[in-house]
Amino acid sequence: MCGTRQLGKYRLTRRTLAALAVPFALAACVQVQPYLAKKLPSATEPVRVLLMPPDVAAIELATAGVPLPRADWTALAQDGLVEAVADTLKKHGAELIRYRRAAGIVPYAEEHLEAIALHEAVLQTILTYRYAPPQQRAALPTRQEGLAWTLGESVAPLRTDYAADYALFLIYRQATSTVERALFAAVSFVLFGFMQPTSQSVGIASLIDLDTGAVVWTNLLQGQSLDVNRPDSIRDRGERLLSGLPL
Amino acid sequence: MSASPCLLVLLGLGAAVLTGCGNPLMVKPGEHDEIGNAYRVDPQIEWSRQQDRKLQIWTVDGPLLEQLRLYAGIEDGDTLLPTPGRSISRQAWEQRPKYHKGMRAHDVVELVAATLAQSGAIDVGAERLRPAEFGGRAGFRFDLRFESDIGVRYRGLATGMITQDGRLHLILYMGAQPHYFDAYEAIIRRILSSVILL
Amino acid sequence: MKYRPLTTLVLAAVLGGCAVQVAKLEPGRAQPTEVSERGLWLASRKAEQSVAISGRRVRNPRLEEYVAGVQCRVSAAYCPEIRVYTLQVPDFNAAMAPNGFEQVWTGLLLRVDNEAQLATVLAHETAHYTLRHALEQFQTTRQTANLLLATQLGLLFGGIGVISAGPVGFSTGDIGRLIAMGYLAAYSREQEAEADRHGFELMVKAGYAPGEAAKVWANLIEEQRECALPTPPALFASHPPSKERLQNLRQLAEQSSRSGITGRSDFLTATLPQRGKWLRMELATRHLCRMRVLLGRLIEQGENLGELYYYRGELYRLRGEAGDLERAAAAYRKALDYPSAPVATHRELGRVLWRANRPIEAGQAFRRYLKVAESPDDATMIKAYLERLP
Repeated sequence: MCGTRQLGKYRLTRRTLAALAVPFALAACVQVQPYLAKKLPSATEPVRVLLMPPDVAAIELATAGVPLPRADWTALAQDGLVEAVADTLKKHGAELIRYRRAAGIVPYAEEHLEAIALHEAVLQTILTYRYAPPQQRAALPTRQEGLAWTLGESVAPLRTDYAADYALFLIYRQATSTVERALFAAVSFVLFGFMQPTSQSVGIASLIDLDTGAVVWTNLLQGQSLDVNRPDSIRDRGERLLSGLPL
Repeated sequence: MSASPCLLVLLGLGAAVLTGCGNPLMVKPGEHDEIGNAYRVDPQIEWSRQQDRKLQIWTVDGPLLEQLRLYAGIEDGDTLLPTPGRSISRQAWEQRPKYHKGMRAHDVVELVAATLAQSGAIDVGAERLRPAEFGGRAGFRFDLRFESDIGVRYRGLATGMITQDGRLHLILYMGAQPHYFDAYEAIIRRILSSVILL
Repeated sequence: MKYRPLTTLVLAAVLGGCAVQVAKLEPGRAQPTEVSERGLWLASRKAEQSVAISGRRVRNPRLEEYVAGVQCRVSAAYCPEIRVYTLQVPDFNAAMAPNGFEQVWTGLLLRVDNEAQLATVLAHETAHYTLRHALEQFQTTRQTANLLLATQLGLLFGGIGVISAGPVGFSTGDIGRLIAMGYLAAYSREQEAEADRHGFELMVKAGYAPGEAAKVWANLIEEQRECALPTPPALFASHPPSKERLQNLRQLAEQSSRSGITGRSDFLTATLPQRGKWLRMELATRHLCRMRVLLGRLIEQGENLGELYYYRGELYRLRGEAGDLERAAAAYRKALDYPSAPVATHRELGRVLWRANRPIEAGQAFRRYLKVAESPDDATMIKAYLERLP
């Protein structure tokens, strides 16, 4: 299933499970699918990147498939991602600016909501025409390649409020199995020859030029591994998600 | 490389594929510009096209951002909603807003508004209904605005006519208010004025 | 965490359908600490964020304040923990998430007669919250382990949204999210009965007339019976309005020695300015039978009759059965006897008369529309009609 196979890091809490898992280690992989609008001009000053509040959720898959959202893992994943962003931007010589979360339920300021909503519509469009599986992917002959979408002038309030050059949006989801579920998976492999990954992660990153509103880069990360009990190395996943950031 | 189906389900994208209407074609000035043997328009620019029974949907950036719907020869009992991908219940069919012979401009405005509302548009407003030529014959125009549930505001333009034998030709344009509506507005106005009845 | 896979499995098998019992919430409690409750709060918070920025949200400070006020009155000490959102959805529903995120649909506001009935629903939802029914249900389900994976994933991952309605959906996920929230409200019969009882206590304690509680369900049962609804609207899935529940609430009211207010005038002050818009949304669903029953009840109550007869006219005009054009014209004419008739009534009357082949009267109605509405934005179209009329 994975185009570029790579051994993910796996952590197994039970020795027995570890033994069972070894033959399937190859199933662990992470792949990314970046799209770039155009090469960005090299900046003379460090570019300022505004990190929007990441939308993160981590869930635990139990034996019978009843998933439990895990607040603790979600917090860990969120911190891990932000660290990965900080590291990556540092490597690129860019400056990280954190979005000032609003106090209420909605983390955004009222005047930024137009850009947030349009970003969601644009991201759905990109998911549909760039990231859907080929057999289901609709064609859009007018936007066959690259990225040609924009948020237009809706980004102006973000630009003025933060004096930033780019905005970075991150969505990250991780589902990790309990040991019981992983055991079931192992048993079902023995019986039916089919191994379900015990951990799946998916992330989407998008970089918006706050000058023009253009979506300059997106990346989709998908990972599978045999981790159990807690999300695996989020830092590593975060860095993969940001690999190829065109700064 | 592409996302595996299960992960797209994880992304809530399972239903997002636009396969209902067959493969999109490209519309170019002078090519594929006939709408259901009823009328022709000058596309001005290149569009991706999807074809339903009596409906063509043209878009450049994707239908969620902007789309032009061109209907031709809508008859008594037809709906403006695209043909559903799977069979729907009798009740659901009965509740779809339908065109009826004898409808006039105001009825069409109402039909469009209810159709959009049933497709999930919120706070649909249809304004400034006025007479306007459609391919040189008496027709009408009106403006639209609505909001989507994710909070994107849209604007729209519509023009249409009812034929002597009581069928409806209708062109609707809808675009996200930030950027997309404005970006295509001038082109759309030229398209709406370019109708030639066949 | 200690893992005992086999023990868990055996336990799950033995426990089977056994319901988990959780303690009632104490008012003013901070964030939960137990892992599954924290998880539910996380999911609820995500759903709440999407609803908070959704275009469906009613952004009318007066109405929002009013609904929140009624909610506070019934939830008393829990008031600061509950956030209520009014959403423009033409169906009867209210739902409470485990974290105190509550939603009320405009279709519900159209179908309760007064504040006491609204309070009944809000108190019922408050009871689900304070009794932590969602957690109880979640843990029970987790033990019996028979929940669809997809439902839950849909709930958690709803944040990204789903493009629905085929090739041209502008509808992107909110309904999906609402349904996901509806899942959270899929309580057991016992929980519903408990919430009815406890909710009843809360609404009575807040000073509302006990007799109003049962009427909420009576109204809905009437709609359901009259229209032989084949697919239940959202409400019926999560809160089946059974005769049994109705009778239980009636019995509770008979046993109650308290009296209370219906709060009808405050309810009307807050909702009447919005009602026309909600009726327009009902009309767009083309559930014309339900709408007919609803209008009948509202007309009986007698507020803003001009508006109500106007919508009755709209209903007949759209239904288009034999005799409906005459019925519509009669309803519009009746509407015009009242000051609350919208100016569009003249135009609609013109439309049906024209369709009924009464061109002279149609022309008169259109001319009156132009005069009364004072250069409406469709004036040139109406003038074009008039050129074709005597």
